[in-house]
Amino acid sequence: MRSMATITAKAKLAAKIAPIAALLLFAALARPAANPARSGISERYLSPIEMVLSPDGRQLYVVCQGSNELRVVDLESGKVVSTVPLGRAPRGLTMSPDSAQIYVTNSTDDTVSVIDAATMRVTRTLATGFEPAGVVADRAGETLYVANRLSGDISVINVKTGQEIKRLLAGRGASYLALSPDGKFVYGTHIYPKLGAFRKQPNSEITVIDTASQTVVERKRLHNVAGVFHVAFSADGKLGVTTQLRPKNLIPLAHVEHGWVFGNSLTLFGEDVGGTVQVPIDELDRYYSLPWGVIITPDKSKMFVTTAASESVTVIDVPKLLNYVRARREPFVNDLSASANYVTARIPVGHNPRGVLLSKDAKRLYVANRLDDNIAVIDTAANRVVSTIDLGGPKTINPLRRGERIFFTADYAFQGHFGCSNCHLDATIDGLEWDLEPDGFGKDIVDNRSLEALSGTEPFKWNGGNPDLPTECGPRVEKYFFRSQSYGDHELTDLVTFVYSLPYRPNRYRLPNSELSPAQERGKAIFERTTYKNGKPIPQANQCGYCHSGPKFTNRQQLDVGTGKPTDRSPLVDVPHLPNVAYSAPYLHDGSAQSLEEIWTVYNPKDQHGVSNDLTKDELNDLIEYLKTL
Amino acid sequence: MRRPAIVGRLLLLAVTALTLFAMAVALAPRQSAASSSTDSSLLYTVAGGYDPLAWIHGSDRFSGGATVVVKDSRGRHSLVADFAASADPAVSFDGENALFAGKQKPQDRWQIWEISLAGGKPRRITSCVDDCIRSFYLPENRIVYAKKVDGRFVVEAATLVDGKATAPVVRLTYGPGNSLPTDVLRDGRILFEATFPFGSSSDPSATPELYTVYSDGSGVESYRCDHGKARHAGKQMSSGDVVFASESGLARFTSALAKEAAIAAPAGEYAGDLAETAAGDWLVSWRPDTRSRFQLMLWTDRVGRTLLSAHQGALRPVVVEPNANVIQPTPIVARTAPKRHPSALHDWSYANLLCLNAYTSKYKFAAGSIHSVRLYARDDAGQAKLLGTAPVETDGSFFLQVPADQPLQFELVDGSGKTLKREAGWFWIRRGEQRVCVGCHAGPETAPENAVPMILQRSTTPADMTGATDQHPSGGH
Repeated sequence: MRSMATITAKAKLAAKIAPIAALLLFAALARPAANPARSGISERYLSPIEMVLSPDGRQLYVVCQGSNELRVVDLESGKVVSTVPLGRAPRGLTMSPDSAQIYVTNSTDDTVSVIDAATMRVTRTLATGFEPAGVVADRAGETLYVANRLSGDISVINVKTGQEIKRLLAGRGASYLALSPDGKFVYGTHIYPKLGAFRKQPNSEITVIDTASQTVVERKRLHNVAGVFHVAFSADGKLGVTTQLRPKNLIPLAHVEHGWVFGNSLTLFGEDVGGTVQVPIDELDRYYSLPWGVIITPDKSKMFVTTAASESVTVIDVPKLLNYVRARREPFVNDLSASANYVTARIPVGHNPRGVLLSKDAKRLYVANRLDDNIAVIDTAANRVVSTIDLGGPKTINPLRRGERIFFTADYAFQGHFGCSNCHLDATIDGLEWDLEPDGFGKDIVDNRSLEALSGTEPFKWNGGNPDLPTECGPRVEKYFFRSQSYGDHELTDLVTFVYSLPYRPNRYRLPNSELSPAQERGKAIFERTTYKNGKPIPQANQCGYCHSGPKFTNRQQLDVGTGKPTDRSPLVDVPHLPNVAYSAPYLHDGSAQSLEEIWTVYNPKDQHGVSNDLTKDELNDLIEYLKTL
Repeated sequence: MRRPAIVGRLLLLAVTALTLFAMAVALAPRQSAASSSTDSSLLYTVAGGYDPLAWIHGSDRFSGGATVVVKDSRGRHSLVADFAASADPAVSFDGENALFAGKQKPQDRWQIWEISLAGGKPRRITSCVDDCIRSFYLPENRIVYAKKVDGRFVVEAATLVDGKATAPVVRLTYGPGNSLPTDVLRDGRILFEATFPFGSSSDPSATPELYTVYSDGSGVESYRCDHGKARHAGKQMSSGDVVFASESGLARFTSALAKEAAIAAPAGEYAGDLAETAAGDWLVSWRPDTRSRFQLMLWTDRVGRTLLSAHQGALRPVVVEPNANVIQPTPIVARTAPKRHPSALHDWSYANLLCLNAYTSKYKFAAGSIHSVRLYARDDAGQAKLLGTAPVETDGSFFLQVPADQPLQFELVDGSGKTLKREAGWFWIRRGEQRVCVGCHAGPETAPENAVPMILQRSTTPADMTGATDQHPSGGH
């Protein structure tokens, strides 16, 4: 009876979702590159994410990721006084040293909009790498540094000519930048861990660029860190700080308490601490999840950290923090009682707080509540929100927005430990493989999959065990991930609606005219071939296009292609969809292949996963070039 | 010329009136706090004799009888006037019903009853052969209570169907001693009191301690690992802190700290089981010395932002019974239900336990010294019985399959078989539970390091310690 009830409930839920999903699917098909959330449903939310202050401190320039705008707020009246249209999905901004220009990255367009601060008009658009995020200008205002998330590098752009001079290799998912107070160095962080050996501890880096030589001069290693966000400095330049996640992806996820899944933390660096020191911000029974924005007061008395999934700002006493760091000789990042020695307040704010900024006198702290379309104003002496600046977004909250809030909050997990967005950073991936408990300890290791355009790729889970998204996101998540009462039926419907709405990101490997390069053409022929190089026919089930067929390059079946591991309970794996496969390393169901090449050079000795052993290295390269265009 | 003078007087009058109004407003919060606290509806227990720790030995806390009293706008009256005894009141999340332990006749066993607070006859919830006491509501129409089995109290959870505790009845505690629930935490865990070392009721040195367990009996652990202050009768306050009675008065567990934090309360003895008023003040059962009776006091510990000293005057009497104890204050208010725990127990007769690193411990073990782990159960006579020995890897990891739902005890041994450390108390793992530990007595403040345990690199099959087969520490380092 119980199982029948469950099936009935799921059927009802599916019935509720189906019309919305159909609408979204229609919208997606009609405009493949657009976000169905924006084309299918009328509300256009602003989603403020980053801010800078005008030189006189009277105006706030707010990047609105959802509405593709820069909104200018007069701080005295608390009103939006002007709006500047930008490119698609703007993400980061900075101001030129002479305050004459504002630079905003457009992450979907791979450009930087240059805004004349006097006229508030876009005067130029500069090309960048793939999916630009953070941007800073050097002290002279001659060079722009742009962190490119998808290409994992930093564009160095000559401001005068608008040309990219060079591109520096950075961490995977390069996203946030800060200029040191003396202007000598640019510090960069990245949101995905570096690709490394299978089932080994993830590592990240702080990339340090010398602005004089425009070269990378240091890569500060962040051990066991995956997901590094903003970076900031004290005014004297002696203390640097990044916000970060320490995932516990290598141990069985059998419970949540005692910091079992994530360590929300900071890395301190610079002369004040020497080397790098990782510092926890969680407590024993409460978690401050997804630390994201960070800023230090000019007098170095306080540090403010937005915790994006916990909807709060953590306030840290910097002198106490430094004293504690100097007193503890051993690493203490796994000590959940440490934060009591330096965290002085937790200030509740709105949904998904991101960017953080201080007023010129440091008496006010501005926090961008991304999913509320407003800015929280905090009295930094009293540590409380004293007002909220409405940026003028829609007043109604539609199912997509509700689902987005559910996706980005940690409220549902036991003790508020984590949310969907901890593993699906900005609704993408985390680049990690996890050991989930229900399959047994050390068994059935699973790679974190992309959420782009999931409709039509059912079933889900590495072995195809979950027939639909309500099953994937519902009771399974409650029982084996959050370990606490989570979504009701309506909330699950909203969440699924949001997840289904996530579009493909633009594919940067396709030529503008939709033609293929010669290498891609050769790769396509290999992908579609039906015979070995010696002319013998390849059995149909062993041809690439047999399993990877249809509009999303999956036949949605579960097959043994020889990639199973001794620790897997079954060799059968769900055939994954391939669009934008270039963005989602590592590969295979368990994340054991660190690159597309390794799928065939390491994990296909018997040609079970397509025929590849008769290919030359160049031919394999061609195949991969083609796969990247899908 | 008179006009300005009149204006001046009017201004003076207005300023004076405003000042008086401001003073009245400034004073109002404290007055309203006190009045709201005393005026709000309340359940409490009046007991002639009250030994809050009698449960340690399986005895009755209310040897001299007890009565649950309702204090509301109509005055004070017994919750169930025709009962021989009643105690342990608990109010439902919607504020409309109450559970209590009751005896209709003096010779009856304690049973759990439920009554509508709007009036009506009480409904008997349990039909226990021996006493059933100390019940609380759980989410989704479940309750938790202590049931006396073979002379000792165990904690059970049951579903309420048509006013009866029905299947599935889940036993939550499997220690050898007595256990008594004291609250249901907002995160869904059940706070209960038992002895430390766990299950050592017969040990004269055993002291009460606070533990938590999920509502399916899994995940049992002590709330904190700084044992030793006779903690009992804990309640979670709106701040999330757990406040409890201890040897030194009142103390609290707060999320940020690994050790209890002292509460500077007025001198005297506290019965625990505090309640919080809507204004944030505390209702406490207090007595000046052990010869006196507990009285119900309101502790208004703040005026604005200023903490009062622990001066006796900070306590104001709410209910005083000259010849009886006034305990277990329970406001009749609706509140948010705790989160439900989605049980993830597997359908197995056994359980698995993975320790990531036995060297992560409050005890100091020399690097490489831990060779293997022994697991003990208890025989029929209550004596420790060795179930087997399993290897410990060089990184301190071990992985065991263990018998479920019974007291277990670990012992770490070196290469020569010498004991390095043996648990003082006992613990259990539920059927189908997959338990993971950071280390051996690592403390709840210790988060795990992110590394694949060596034991799982060697094998994903646990060493069988269920007693079904002999185990040898081969394969260790």
